This record gives sequence, structure tokens and C-alpha cells, in this order.
Amino acid sequence: MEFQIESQSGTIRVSGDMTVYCAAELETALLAEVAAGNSSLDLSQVQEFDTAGLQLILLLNRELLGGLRITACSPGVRATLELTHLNKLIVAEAA
Amino acid sequence: MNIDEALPTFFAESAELLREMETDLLACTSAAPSADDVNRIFRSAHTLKGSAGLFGFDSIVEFVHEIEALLDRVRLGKAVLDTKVASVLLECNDHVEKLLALASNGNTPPDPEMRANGSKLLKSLGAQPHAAAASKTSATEDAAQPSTSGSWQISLRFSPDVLVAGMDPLGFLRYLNTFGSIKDLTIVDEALPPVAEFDAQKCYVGFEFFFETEAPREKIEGAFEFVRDDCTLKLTPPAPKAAAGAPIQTQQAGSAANANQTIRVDSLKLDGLITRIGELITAVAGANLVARRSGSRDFEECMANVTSLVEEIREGSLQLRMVKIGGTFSRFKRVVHDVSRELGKEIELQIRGEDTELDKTVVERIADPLTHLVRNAIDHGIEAADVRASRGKSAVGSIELNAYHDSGTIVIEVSDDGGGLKREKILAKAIERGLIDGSAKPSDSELFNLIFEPGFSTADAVTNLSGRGVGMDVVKRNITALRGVVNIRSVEGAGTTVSVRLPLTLAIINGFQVGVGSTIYVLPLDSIDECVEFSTSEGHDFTSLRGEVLPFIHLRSLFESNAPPAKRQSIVVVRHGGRRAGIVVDTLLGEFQTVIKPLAKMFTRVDCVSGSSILGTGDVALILDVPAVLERAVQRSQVATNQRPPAEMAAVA
Repeated sequence: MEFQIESQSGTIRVSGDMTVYCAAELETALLAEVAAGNSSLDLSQVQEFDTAGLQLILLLNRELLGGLRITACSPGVRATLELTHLNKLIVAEAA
Repeated sequence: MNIDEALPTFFAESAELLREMETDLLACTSAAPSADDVNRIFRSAHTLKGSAGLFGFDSIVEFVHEIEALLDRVRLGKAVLDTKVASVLLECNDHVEKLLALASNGNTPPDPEMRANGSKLLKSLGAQPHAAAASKTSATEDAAQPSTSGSWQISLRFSPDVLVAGMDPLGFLRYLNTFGSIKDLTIVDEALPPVAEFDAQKCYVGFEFFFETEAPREKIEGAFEFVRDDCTLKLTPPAPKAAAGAPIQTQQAGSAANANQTIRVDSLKLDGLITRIGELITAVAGANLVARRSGSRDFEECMANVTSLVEEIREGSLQLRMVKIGGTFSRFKRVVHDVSRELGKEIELQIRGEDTELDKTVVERIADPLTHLVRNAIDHGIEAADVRASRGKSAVGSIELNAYHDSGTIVIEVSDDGGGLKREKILAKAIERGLIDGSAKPSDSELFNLIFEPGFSTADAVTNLSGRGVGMDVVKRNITALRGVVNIRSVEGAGTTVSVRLPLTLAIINGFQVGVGSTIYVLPLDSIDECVEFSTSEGHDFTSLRGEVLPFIHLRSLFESNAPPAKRQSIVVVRHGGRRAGIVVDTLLGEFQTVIKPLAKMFTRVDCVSGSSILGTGDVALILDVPAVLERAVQRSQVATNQRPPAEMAAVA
């Protein structure tokens, strides 16, 4: 409904919203992806992003022992990550 | 809720806030205020401003705003809240009170004099006087607010349910960024649980950050208005002064929690409840009688249960009306502050027993007489500083208010360490006015009580006395109307203590019923020490109680009852104000709850009876006025021992 997840060569691509409304489903899906060996996030297609979404990022990063990489993000997500000093997780994106 | 319905609450709360501010400000006049004190005053002002704004009382909002601005400067260390500033703020408090009075009076605009006074006060607060009284607050907001540019240190924690409640903590940060900038934010994620326990809908994170803004504190706090109950906000203002390291905490949830601890109830409803319970007690007493007559043990047992429950309800509901006297006492801080400034005397007020509780109606009606006593003590009790010095006393006079419970009554004392009453001069005055016989030798307390006589002290009277008589008769009348007594102890040169003894409640008492013939009388249980058998030794008005002389009085002769005395009589030993006496009765009927019904007007002058009560049988019982009866008993035995007139002896025997 609000989000879709697809993974390709280690990168999980989230489209739609990362909010409290779908946080529970998103958590299950993302944890499954991480368990499957994916460790990068592509957030370029994320629309809404709230504290619940932020917590999921924190959770994933902890699961990956700090090895989470964010390869791309939408302007909204970027602003939030910069605000919360999580932009260190963003790695150089493919142009 | 209709806003007009909330108005009385607003006025009640505002009055309370002003009182709190006053108390805090008065504390500032004696000792340098701590950060907490300043914060408390600030919060009172802030709340007052907020609710006044809600009701559209712009003149109050404007005025309080300036007070708030000054307090804010104090908080930031840019101004000092010293005695002088506190005095100005006290006057401001009065002004706000006047504004509130106007507002409650149909929001009439202040007259020119008041407006002038207001702007004078504002000027002394260091604010710009307003060009137009009706100028909108938003315009003054920026001008008056000190610019507090700098980094606030903000610490934010949320309750886990904040997300489900539809709030997004990040949203607040984004909003903050619209009027300042967030720097060095750290996410506090220690609370983030392991995956197994992680609930994606709960909030586990908190934020620590610096916030650079020009905005005043309220604006920052205002940003979190909607999550008040769901977050803990810690604000540390920029440029901390000397006392750095002690962050000023603002517990957002605190005020909301306090509000939940009390409910406001219309006092009429409460009075109605008490009246109903009074009726209930009478009805239960009647039912008890029927139960006893019926001879059914089950029925009696049930009634015993009901009776004990009703007793508990009575206790509980009377407790509802009990308030601490501290609130009344703290009003006197202001009286002392004002009067002593007016008279140029330095006076310290000491308060003890402020937790002593008594009935609300009593508290309300005792405030005025007490004010009079306190003013009198300052005005006429405490001597001028030079006189004090010559007597070897400290230059600072001392007034003490004290309250405590004593055998079912409350005693309130107003003491001063002033000049005391001049016994000789009062005696001369009393003889001159024909109040006492020239040959009489009145006791100190009898003599001192004469100053309560109407117009006893006149302008040409002894200087140290003048004024002590003025209005004192009114004080005594008020206290007597509350079924209280007033007494004076005084040592010339060392001070005076006026003690007021009042019943705890005016409605229901624990009574002890006694019978003479077929008539039943009630004594307040609290005043009874013990009951002993009466041994007839004709011709005496006193007996020996374990070696002590106990004067007594026959209830039979007191009320001129014709019924033949019972074979066995008993003495009920009563106590009041440190004295004891016996009352001789035919029968002891035991303890009953007694609803006091006031006597009709035509009986108000009847001595020794303080009220009446309706018994379960429907009969009327008189409630004895213990102090008066005791007085009689003591007097009679004194007369008997001193003069022994045969007629008197016969009447008593």
C-alpha cells in the first residue's frame, strides 16, 4: 500500500512512505532483506519520512553493526538525515 | 464549554496565582531569591497572562506581560530581583488585582488615575509605557522581550506512545528550524530495544541539541504545546550566569498533573451535602431506636453497621470542608510588610502551625478579626525602634502567628514582643468607667479582657493602649459569633499574646448525652475528660478528684429542674482552656453524633446553651456551652469559698 520494497545486488530500494502507519510491516520486510544479506538503502523514492522511519534506519544500522549505507535519498529524507546528523550514513551516490 | 461559564474559574485561579506570586515576592524581600523562586513567580505571571489572553482581557495581558519581561530579565541574569524590585512587583500585583476586579465587573476600562498608576509602575519596571492602551500585544511582544540571542541547550524525550498519538517528534524539530537553527543534534537511542522487542509504532528516541534563536523562551516552549503531556522538555538558556551547571528545568507535564489532583466544587453543593448528612444522622438515630425496641438482634446488628458507616461519611465530608490555615496566615505576610513599612517599624513575622486544619466557613470569617489583631500588634504592640533599643530588645520587632488543635477546638495565637499591656492603667480606666468595682481585685485575664469592651480605649487614654480598644469590641463580637472565645496574656514590657479559641466545625459534633430528670443535654465529647461517681457531701461546691480540687455545678440547679434527683448521680469532668470543672447529672447516656441546630434568635442571650439538637426520638436536646458552664462552676465555688453566703450555699446544695 504505502510502500514497496525491492532489492538488487545488496541494495534495498524503498518506495513510498516510511511512517508510523506502515512502520510495522516495513520493519518486518526490511529486517528480512537485511537478513538476506542486503546492507544498503536506496531512499530516493521515499515520500513521507517520520520518526518511526528514522528509528527503522537506526535499528537497521545497529543490526548491521553500524555498516548501513544509504546510497541515495530524496530531498526530504536528506534534510531529515542532515538535521539528525545521520547523513554520515549517506555514501557517495551514483550521479 | 461556554467561555462565560469558565470566567468564574478564571477569576478564582487568577486570584490564587496572584496570592502565590505575592507569597513568593514577599519571600524575596527577606532573602535573595533562588532560580527556582524566580521561575515560580515567572510561571505564575505567565499562566496568568495566558489565561487572561484567552478571555480577551487585553489590559491585563499587557500589564502582566511587562512583569513577565522583567522576570525574564532576572532569569537571564540581566536584572536583579532585590528588595526594591520586589516591592515594585508587589505593587504591580495589586494593580493586576484591580484590573481583574474591573474585568470581573463587566470588563470596564480602567479610569485615568488607574491607567496613570499602571504606566508609572510599568516605568519603574523598566518598560516602555504604552502610547495607546489598546495596542495589541503582538506589537509589544518583540519590543519588550529582551533579545536572547544565543544557543539554548534543549533536551527532548518523548513518551513511547507519541507516534501513535499522531505526533511526529521530527516535525517539532522541523518547526523549530523555522525560527532558529538546530545545531549539533544528537539522537539519544539508548532506549532502542533489541529487534525482538522492537515495536515500530513506539517512539524510543530522544534528542539533544543546541538551538540558536532570537525567540523568547515561551516561543520555544510553545513549539511543544501539542506534546505537552507526551514529552519532557529541558531548556537551558544561553549565556548561563554564575550558577551555571544547574539547568533550569521546565517540567511540561508537571502543571497538568497538579491540576488533576484537585477538583473545584461549588461550596454550596458542599454545604448541601453537610446538611443532608446532618439529617441522615438524625434519621439513623431514629432508626436505631426502633431497632432496639424491636428486639430483633439482626436488625440491631445491621443498624450498628449503618451507624458506623454514617459516622465515617460524616468524618469524611466534614474533612472536605477543612482547609489549612496556612493560606490565611500567609496573607498576613503582606499585612505585616505593608503596615510595618507604613509605620517605619522593622518587623519579622513568624508563622507556626500553618498545617492546622479548620472548617472553611470558620477560616473565612476569622480572617478579618485576625487582620485586626495583627495590625493592632504592629501598631500598638511593637514599640518604636529607639524605645526597643532602650529596653534592650532587638531593633526588629517580632510578631508570631501560631495555630494548634486543643480538645476539639483550634487555638490561634497572635503574639508580639512589644510593650505589653499596662495593668495599672487599664485598672484605673476600668474603675473610672465603672466597669469594675474599685475594691475588686480582678485577675489579669479578666482585666485584660476589658479592652474588648466597646469604646474602652479612647483618644485620651494611655498612649500605649490607644487603638487597642478601637475595633477590639468588633473582633470579640466576630469571634463570639463563631462560638469562639478570646483571651489575652500580657507581660508589661515583654509582649502580648492574644489567643482565639474556635470550634473546629460549625455543623456536627461528637456529643455526649447526659440526662437530668427526663431532659437530655448534650456535651461536646471533645471537652469531656472523664466521668466519675458523685458522692454526696452536702454543702460543698467542689470535690476532690484524686487529690485535686474540682469545682462542680449541678445541672439540675443550673436549669432549675424540678424533677427529683436520681439516687445515683455522676460528675462529668469537662475541660476548657486549661481549666476543669465537674457537671453533676442524673444519668450518663453515652456518645452520639450531634447535629447542631442554631437556637432561634430569641434564645441567643441564654447563657450556658450553645445550640440545640434533634434526637432520634424527635425530642430536642440542648447543647451545653462548656466554657460558660465552666465559668459558672468556677465562679460559684470561688464565691462559696471566699464569702460563703448562706443563701448561695443553700441554692447550690
